[in-house]
Amino acid sequence: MKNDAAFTQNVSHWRTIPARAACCADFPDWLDARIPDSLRKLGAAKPYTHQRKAWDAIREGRHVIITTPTASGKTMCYNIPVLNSILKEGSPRALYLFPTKALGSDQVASLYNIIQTLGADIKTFTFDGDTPAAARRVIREAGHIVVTNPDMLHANILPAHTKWVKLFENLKYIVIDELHTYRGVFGSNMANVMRRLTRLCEFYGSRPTVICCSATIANPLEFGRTIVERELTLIDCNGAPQGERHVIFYNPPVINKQLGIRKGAVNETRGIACDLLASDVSSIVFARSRLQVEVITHTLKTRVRDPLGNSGRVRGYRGGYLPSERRDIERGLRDGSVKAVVSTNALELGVDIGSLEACVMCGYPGTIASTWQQAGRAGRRKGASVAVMVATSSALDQYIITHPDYFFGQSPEHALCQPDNFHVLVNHIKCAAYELPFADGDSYGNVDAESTRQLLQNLTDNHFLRSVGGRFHWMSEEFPASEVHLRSAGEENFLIVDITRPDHHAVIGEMDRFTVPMLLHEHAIYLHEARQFQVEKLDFPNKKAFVRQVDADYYTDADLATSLRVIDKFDETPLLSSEDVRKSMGEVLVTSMATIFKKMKLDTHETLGFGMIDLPESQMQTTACWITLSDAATHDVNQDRLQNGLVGISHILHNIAPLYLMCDKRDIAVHFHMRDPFSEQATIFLYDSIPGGVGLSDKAFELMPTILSHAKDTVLYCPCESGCPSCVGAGASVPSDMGGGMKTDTLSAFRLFGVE
Amino acid sequence: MIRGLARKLETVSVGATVPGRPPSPPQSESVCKVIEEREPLANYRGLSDILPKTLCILGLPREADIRSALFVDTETTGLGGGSVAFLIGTGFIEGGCFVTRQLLMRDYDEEPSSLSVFADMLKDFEFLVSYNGKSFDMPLLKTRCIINKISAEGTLMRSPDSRDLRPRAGAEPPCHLDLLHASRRIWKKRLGGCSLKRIEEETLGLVRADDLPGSEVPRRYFDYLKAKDERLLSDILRHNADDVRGMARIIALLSAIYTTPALLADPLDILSLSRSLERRAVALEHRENNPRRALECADMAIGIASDEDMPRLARRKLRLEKKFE
Repeated sequence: MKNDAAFTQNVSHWRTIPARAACCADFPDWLDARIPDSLRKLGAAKPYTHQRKAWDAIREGRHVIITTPTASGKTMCYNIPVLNSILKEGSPRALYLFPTKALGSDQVASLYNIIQTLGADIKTFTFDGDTPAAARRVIREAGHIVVTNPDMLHANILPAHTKWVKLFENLKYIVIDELHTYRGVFGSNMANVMRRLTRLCEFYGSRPTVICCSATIANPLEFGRTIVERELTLIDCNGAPQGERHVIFYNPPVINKQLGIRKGAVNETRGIACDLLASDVSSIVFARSRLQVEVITHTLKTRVRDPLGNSGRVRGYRGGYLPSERRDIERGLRDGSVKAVVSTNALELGVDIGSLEACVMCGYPGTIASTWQQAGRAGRRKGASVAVMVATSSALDQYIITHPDYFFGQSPEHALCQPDNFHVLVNHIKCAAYELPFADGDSYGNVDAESTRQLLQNLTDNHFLRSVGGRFHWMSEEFPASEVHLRSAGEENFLIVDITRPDHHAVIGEMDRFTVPMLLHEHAIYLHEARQFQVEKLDFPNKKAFVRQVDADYYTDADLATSLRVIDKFDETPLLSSEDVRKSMGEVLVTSMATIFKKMKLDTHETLGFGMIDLPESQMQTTACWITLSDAATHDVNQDRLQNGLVGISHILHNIAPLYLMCDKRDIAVHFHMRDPFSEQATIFLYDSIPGGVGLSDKAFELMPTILSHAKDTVLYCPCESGCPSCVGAGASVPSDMGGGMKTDTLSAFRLFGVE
Repeated sequence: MIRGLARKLETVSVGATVPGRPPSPPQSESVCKVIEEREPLANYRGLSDILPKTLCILGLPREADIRSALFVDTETTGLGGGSVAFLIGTGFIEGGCFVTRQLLMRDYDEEPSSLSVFADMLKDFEFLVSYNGKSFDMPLLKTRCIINKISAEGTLMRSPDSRDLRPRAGAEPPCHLDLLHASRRIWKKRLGGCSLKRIEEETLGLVRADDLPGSEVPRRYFDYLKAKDERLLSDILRHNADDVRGMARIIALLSAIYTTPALLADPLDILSLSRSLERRAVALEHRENNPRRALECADMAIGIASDEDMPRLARRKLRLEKKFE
């Protein structure tokens, strides 16, 4: 590739990471002799240093978090101590938690492999939604290792704990793999599921050791502690060998300099993948959406089709494929019969696909951690590998690709969640009370006794609980766990019903209440798996949207009128040195109402017409942080130019902040007031788009100076002339009549905030 | 203290929160209320005459004396896992009387007491009789015992030293006769639904006056808890006692039918009985290893079998007879 001029002229950075040899340790003498024997049979002559460290720590009863990279043999870190204890003592049980069903079954398959080699009678079962009722009873009674996911634990195992007495009484290990996936709402819920699990273990008298595994994140100990509420020992010294790796940043050429538009990342990715295929390099291509997967797979298949029409060397892989099909592809990758796979981030997690030689990422995956995780899919213990990241025109991609030192120098993102989010907390306290009555003076997880008491008292006043004899008893006919979905905060999801076929109405999806007015208002065009639907009727009270498949050449875009009001302030300090510029954090009430929508032509984005939206306003109470400029600071500034500046900063802030918060862009929102009624100053707000907040704005409050400084650099070093969608936002190409334009105004506003 | 908690609680609370209400002291000595009634056995025709072997044919895994039976029916705060059995109704024969003894939990703090009283009672009896108790009442009581740390080993639960990991059917104690199953075997073909009330009406001609429908029980109990007026419970107590007495009458009727199949008039019921006897014969022969009773069942089945079933039953009978040669 280095010799291909057409390729290298677009390479903005090429980094070579040298090979590293393995660091091995000895098998400890306390292991059951069958274990080293079996591992040798399976091809592992000696454990790596990090594995040995983990085993020793776990044996001492310490809770651990392991953060070595992909393919470093993390699963052995927990499988061996668990199997050893079962071999030696017989009765211990272990609970394995994986974020998805697929990972769970993958894990069971590899466990079977070791257990078979051991020749021991250790019963391992997956317990998920697909487990038949008859098998469930066997698992409850006899499963040494129960492999499940948090959703099943929450809705099935914990509420029916009296059927799982054997498991809870003998629970010695809790394994939480892919801990980094428990971010945001999912993490806040997960932490509460852990609180409930711990509460039940205490009731049954067991004190399990918790073993967490995570991809690299900036704050493994802090994040792990938030989720499991225990002191953790960090194992991060990777002893696994690593071949030489090349990481290449590829920026497609600019085709419209004024508008800052570059050649499409999908096309460029496709080209690179074709070249790799032509050289017979095994590779994985990560696309950003299911649609992109299909498009890229199609072209690659056309390229490799032999005279008989076979193109099985190239496969697509995404959610929505049948499990058997997926297993088939994974097997093909391991044995080499599949040369290239095009995938969504579904293959980013630990599914075993062997090691490939090359990885091409279509667009920045969104976080540094995710990028390393995807790049790690190509990375072998011996021999060289390459990872190419193809940038799109988005602000975030452009920032990363033009700041390689930031990417390589920065520790990966902070994983965040907020277990004490009010909504989440109330829901799980209900579940906990259903499982076991609370006694006066009990605390719940790390929630102090007084807060717990107030929450319980509130539930008592609302007749969910009955307080008598010093205990709080569940007294409702409801099943509280059924109302809590771990992966979203709002409990009031809308159902999307396809009524194309009059004889067969099908539910095709769900949407949270807060997004519905934007995307599912009447006459909206709703896109689902590349098919277009028009919303015929939105039944707001019954939370249903009825859609019909259509073939339209336009899409719709709703305008949302948002207003924001501060209701509580928890903290305030100067942003930097100046007293005129301050940052605050607290709670806000966001009221939004969809007012009108535009019909836009698909290819040219021309406006074809308008329509009115008649829906009630929705309100959300959430956490926010905000920065203010005092009147003294804005005194001499032209108000129009200041407004331009606030628009520009809001746009870039919204794009850059997710980088630090390890969240999706949709998880936060940014809003500004030229004169906020609460602070009586020009104010920019950043808030969690999730009711009650999940800790994103708390972290943004802390990191605000850094985030702003990087936001400013992005605008400053953007190659556009006067502002483009990659820096200060859409519509920025129109210069303001005061001269200067959006870009200049935004940079001046940054200066007002003291950001240099 | 969680930040902003007090304010949030104010906004979501329906009733006013009373800040800093002192916790009420735990009252460990809350004792459930026991309500007992006695009726002469003469009111239950045939009940005390039931033979041990008839109970076995009805479905009990072994032969037992009807005087060692405990009839059980609970009233609960709902059907789901979080519900509580606030009333445990029991019935048994004592001397010349049929006794109903109800354990009422007047509030949640009396639950441990009612469960312990019940667990103690179980020790005095050899087997349970219930109506749908195998899948509802007993698993619920077992759950409540676990949650309240009431030891009921050997009665409600298997003993703790049992290392047997093989799952057994359900969570019921070793010996339990569920009359719902026995009733279904005879009347399901003709009647469809076999609720206790339905069977009482159809077979015994009993019609309960002003009976409280089972579905209204939880609401009534919650109303009582709010008002703390025990008069609100009288309908529930009567409904529950009627259920317990109904079971005693139905077990007497079922025994009579199994002893004298001619009591059945409807051909569908007769067919059901013969098939049920045949299935019981199979179970007794293979699962319970009791060929003598199996032969008895097969013999009775032949007496009422349809022409179609006859040859098959005859073969079974011959085979069983050979075992005794």
